[in-house]
This record gives sequence, structure tokens and C-alpha cells, in this order.
Amino acid sequence: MSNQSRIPGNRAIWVGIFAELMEFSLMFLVYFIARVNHPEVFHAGPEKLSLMAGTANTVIMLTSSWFVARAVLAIRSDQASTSFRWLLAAFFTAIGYPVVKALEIRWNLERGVIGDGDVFQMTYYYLTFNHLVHVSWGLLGMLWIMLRTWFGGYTASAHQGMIAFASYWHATDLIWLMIFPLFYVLP
Amino acid sequence: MTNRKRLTISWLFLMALTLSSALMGEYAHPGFWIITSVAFITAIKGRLIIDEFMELGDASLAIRRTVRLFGLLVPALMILTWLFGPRLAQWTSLATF
Repeated sequence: MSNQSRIPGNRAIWVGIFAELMEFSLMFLVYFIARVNHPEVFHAGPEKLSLMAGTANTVIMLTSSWFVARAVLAIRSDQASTSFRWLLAAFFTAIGYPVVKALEIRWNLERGVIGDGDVFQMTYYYLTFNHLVHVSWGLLGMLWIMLRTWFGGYTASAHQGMIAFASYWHATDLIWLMIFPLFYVLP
Repeated sequence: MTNRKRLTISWLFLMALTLSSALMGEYAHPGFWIITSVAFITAIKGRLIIDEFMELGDASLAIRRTVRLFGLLVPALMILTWLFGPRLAQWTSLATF
């Protein structure tokens, strides 16, 4: 296959990734429409959230993505056990995401940041919960890829399944990189 | 440079950019240059993920362009809504109808 037509992983995963990107693109448009209509609420919004939790989850997503990329490099060299260990590191790092999220939600509720609060809080919960759902699917997918790697399902010449999963996981990471400044940073 | 080294350097760069964003979130006040800096950092981080982690630099043109476009959507909207916020609010407000 020439480079100009190379599809990382398989076509099916890219249908899923494009659907995911389209879904979040629409939600980002909703965010910006709400933001221009309620600028004061959005300027004050980030102060009510935990920047520490947002930063921690960004570090977790980026690090887990890096580990997955290392797992792909290892399988390309036919080092299945090394690849498995990178996936294990990616999984245990990524588990930190829902844990931090749960702590963050408890922290929010104690400070009155609720789902039917102001328009900033509503868009925050809508986008971040949606992202959490995508991360949860990704974690299940990662378990499957780990099992396949453990039982010798991938080799240097045949590992499209791992590439497909890695593409989805990186896309989910990319989406978080867009969400993070919108709710925790942008003044 | 080996692929492993490139990946590690990209990750370190992403960490540094994330910490810069966090500092801006802590201390920055609204202003064109702050908004532009946040947008620029977001675009760079997105491009690093797309090119280095997803390896789309040599992938199908349709996939590469679509994902790169997605990576620019939010940074572009950050700047556009800062520059033209009131006008965009007028166009998108239900009160118009």
C-alpha cells in the first residue's frame, strides 16, 4: 500500500474515530456559542473548577498515550512481552483518569458545581462526561489488546488490531487536549 | 534520531506545554495575547499527538487532513470568538428570532 493511501489499523476504527471527532466538534461548537452569549459566566468558570484535577488528567492521558505508542514500537520489533509491559503501564496509568474524575466530581459537588448549575457548568459536565464514556470504552479496548498480546496474537508483520486501538486511544487523548484549556485554562 | 527517542522527546515537550498551560490557568487574565498563547499551545500539542503518536504524517491524505483540521478547530475558535465574540453572539442568539 502506498503511503498516500495508508490507513493506520483498519477502516472500521476510522469510521469510529471520525464519528467521535464529529461528535466532539459539534459539542465544541455548542461550547463556543454558549461562551460568546455568556462571556462573564465563562470568564469566571475555570476558577470554580480544580485546575489540579484537569492538569493531572492531562498528564495521565498523555503518559498513557506515550506508553501505548511504545507498545506499538515494541511489537514492530517482534518483542511481544515488552509490548505487553508497555500496555500494562498504559492501562494502570489510564485507570487514574476515572479515579481523578471521581475525586474531582466529589470536590465539585462540595463547592456547588452541579450539572444543572450555570451554562458553564452544564457544558463542562456534558463534554467531560462524554469524554469519560469514550475513555471507558478505550480502557475496555486496551484490556482486549493486552489479552491478544499476552496470548501471542500480534507479531511484527501482523498487528493491525493494536494499531487500530492505538489510533482510537490517541484520538481520545487529542480530544482531551482540546477540552482541558476550554474549561480549566481559558480566562 | 530513533523513533523511541522522538517519542520520548515529544512526550517531554507535551508535559512542558501542559505545565505552561496550567500556569496560565492559575495566573493569566483575559487578553488577546493570553488567548493566542493558549490557542497556540493547544494547536502544537494536538499536532504532536497527530504526527508523533498517531503517526499520521505518512497516512492517507483524507485521514491526515481530517484529523489535522480537527486539531486546529478549537484553537481557531478560541481566537475567533475572542476577536468577534459580540458579533458571533448576535448571529447565534435565540433572541434574534
